[in-house]
Amino acid sequence: MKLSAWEARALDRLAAALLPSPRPGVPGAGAIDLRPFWRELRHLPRAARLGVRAAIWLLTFGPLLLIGRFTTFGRLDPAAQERLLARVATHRIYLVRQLLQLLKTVVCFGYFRDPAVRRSFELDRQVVAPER
Amino acid sequence: MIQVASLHDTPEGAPELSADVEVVIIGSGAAGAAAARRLARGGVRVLIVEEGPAVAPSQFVSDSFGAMAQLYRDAGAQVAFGPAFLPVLQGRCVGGSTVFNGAICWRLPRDVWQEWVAADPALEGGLPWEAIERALDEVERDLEVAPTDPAIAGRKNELMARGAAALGLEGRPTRRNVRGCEGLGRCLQGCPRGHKLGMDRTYLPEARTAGATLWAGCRVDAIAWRGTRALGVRGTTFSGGRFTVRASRAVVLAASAVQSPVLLQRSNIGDGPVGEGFQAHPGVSVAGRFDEPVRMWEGATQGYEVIGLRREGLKFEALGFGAEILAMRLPGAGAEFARAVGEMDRWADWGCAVRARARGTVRPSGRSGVKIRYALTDEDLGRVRRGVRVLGELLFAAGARAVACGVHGFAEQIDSPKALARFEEEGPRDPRAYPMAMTHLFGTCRMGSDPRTSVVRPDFRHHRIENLYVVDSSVFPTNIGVNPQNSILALATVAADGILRA
Ligand SMILES: Cc1cc2nc3c(=O)[nH]c(=O)nc-3n(C[C@H](O)[C@H](O)[C@H](O)COP(=O)(O)OP(=O)(O)OC[C@H]3O[C@@H](n4cnc5c(N)ncnc54)[C@H](O)[C@@H]3O)c2cc1C
Ligand code: SF4
Repeated sequence: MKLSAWEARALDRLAAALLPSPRPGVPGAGAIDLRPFWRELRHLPRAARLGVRAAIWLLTFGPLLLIGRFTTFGRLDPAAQERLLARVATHRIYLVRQLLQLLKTVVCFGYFRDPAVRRSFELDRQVVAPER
Repeated sequence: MIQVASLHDTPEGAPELSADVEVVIIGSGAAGAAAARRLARGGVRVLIVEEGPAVAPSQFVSDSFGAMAQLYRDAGAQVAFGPAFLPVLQGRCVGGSTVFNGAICWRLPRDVWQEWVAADPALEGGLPWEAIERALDEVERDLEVAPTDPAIAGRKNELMARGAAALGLEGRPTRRNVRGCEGLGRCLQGCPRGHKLGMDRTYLPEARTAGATLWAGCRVDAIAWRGTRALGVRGTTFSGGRFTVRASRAVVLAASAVQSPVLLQRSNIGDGPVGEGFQAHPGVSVAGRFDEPVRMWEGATQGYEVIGLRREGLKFEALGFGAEILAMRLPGAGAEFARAVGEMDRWADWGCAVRARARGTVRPSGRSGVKIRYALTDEDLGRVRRGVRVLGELLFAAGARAVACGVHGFAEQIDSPKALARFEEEGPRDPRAYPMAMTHLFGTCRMGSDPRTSVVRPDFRHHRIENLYVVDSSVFPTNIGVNPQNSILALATVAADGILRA
């Protein structure tokens, strides 16, 4: 999937709000470069790629579409972003909830690919060297 | 042991591949590999055609997305449509789903076979229990199936054992097909040390030693047939070239319960209920937060199971997968989510596989796609609610401080088992409230004696096309309520014995 520059920036912002720093010393999703991973999303089938795109648009224009505020997600202050995300997570429309879940999935996939994050959580501590 | 990479026999750069063999097998997963090994050892000239790539353990990656893009169909994003979207996970690589499955081994329960025979007595003679048992014994010996070694079980599995004991529920260390497992917990990404004895490490190399050939990266597009004879297959290579295979003796379809019926339909072999009767074991999971570190991505991937409610259609397993999959299961979005991720090492996620009654359909879609339709019944949803309740109770009994069911319309986190009892009665009746996924798939080319209600005969032969066999779990008349790999291996072995005799 080739995200436009605007969509990539919007996805960066959404990722940063969705997953801030989990604990001191561990970067949040906004502090790592997720762009290489966004390019990897081309491996997804078409329907899933469309879903990611729909999620970016829905949340970016979420203030207008979901709470009637004439602004975009990126312009909300962090507390308002948080409230909007919470609202979407429990939204009565299934598709809306699913789009947020899809975004959460994509962000987690990208976030936990980062070597610094993997080191912070000691995710690979048992793997010494793969068999040749 | 032969390295997987050397299985990639596809002639390089050949513009148009063709081959003449006795038997062509479509798919190299559990069913295809078992049939191939048996036939090759019986002296038959076999070619296995596999759509996905051959990937060696040294090439497996540790992150879940990378693994899914490498080994899973549609990078793990295939879904069944219905009231809810249910992910349907399957393999697309040499060895099929056995390369990255949880390695849990179960014998086909005799009570399930008895149900099949009660519904269609012809199965008693056509698919005798003694033949299945013999094949199951052989599979267990070959794949070194044994209970999980406590030394590598890891905390998540120990905790589930503790929870089951506290509730008085029957449980046991899972029996797994591994050799020298170190408890790296990476089965679902492919074991990087090759300890899991999937088909890529066992039956496929053995089939090759016995003379079988394997083409990887070659998708069969259609089965060629005339009158009552299958003639071979034709398809497309990963680089867009064409190939044809003529098979003088038989065409064996082992492309899985999703792909096999689709291939029949694409080949205009739509007789009987092909693509109907799709069954599964939808899985639901509940996460629990402990005071102590659990690090659920470590230890034997799925090393403990609770089996006391199997006859109610519920089976519970300690799950093990990449941290990213656990993270996306954790509650909240924003600061609350980040907090949960920050203490991710304290969370365990346990799953319940439900023997659902629902039957769906599988149809071709577009040029090479698939459309799966599936809707859980009310009775199934009742089981799902019970499954969620028992999972939560197990977690609390094991010492969890809070559990997160992930059910829409229900508290994100609860901190006492009391609310769980109420949940079973009053929890949502809407399937869209539950996050679920499916990995065990059945029933789309049902076996039976009546061509109006089944697709293959009790000896796995297609009702009309006499030398076309379907040998994967699409022939199972129903789902089986337990992990299916070994049942599939055993039934495909029985099918291959029949081909050798024919
Ligand atoms: C994540 C996961 C975990 C699991 N864990 C367990 C477990 O712990 N224990 C257990 O018993 N079972 C488990 N299972 C289920 C088990 O692995 C499968 O039921 C079993 O492998 C199915 O065997 P199969 O041969 O029918 O299909 P598969 O193993 O999926 O193989 C089918 C193969 O056919 C190929 N194919 C499809 N269409 C074509 C075509 N047109 N041309 C050429 N090739 C084609 C596919 O690429 C694939 O490689 C798990 C499954 C998954 C997805
Ligand atoms: S638990 Fe780890 S070591 Fe054991 S088979 Fe699975 S991936 Fe390999």
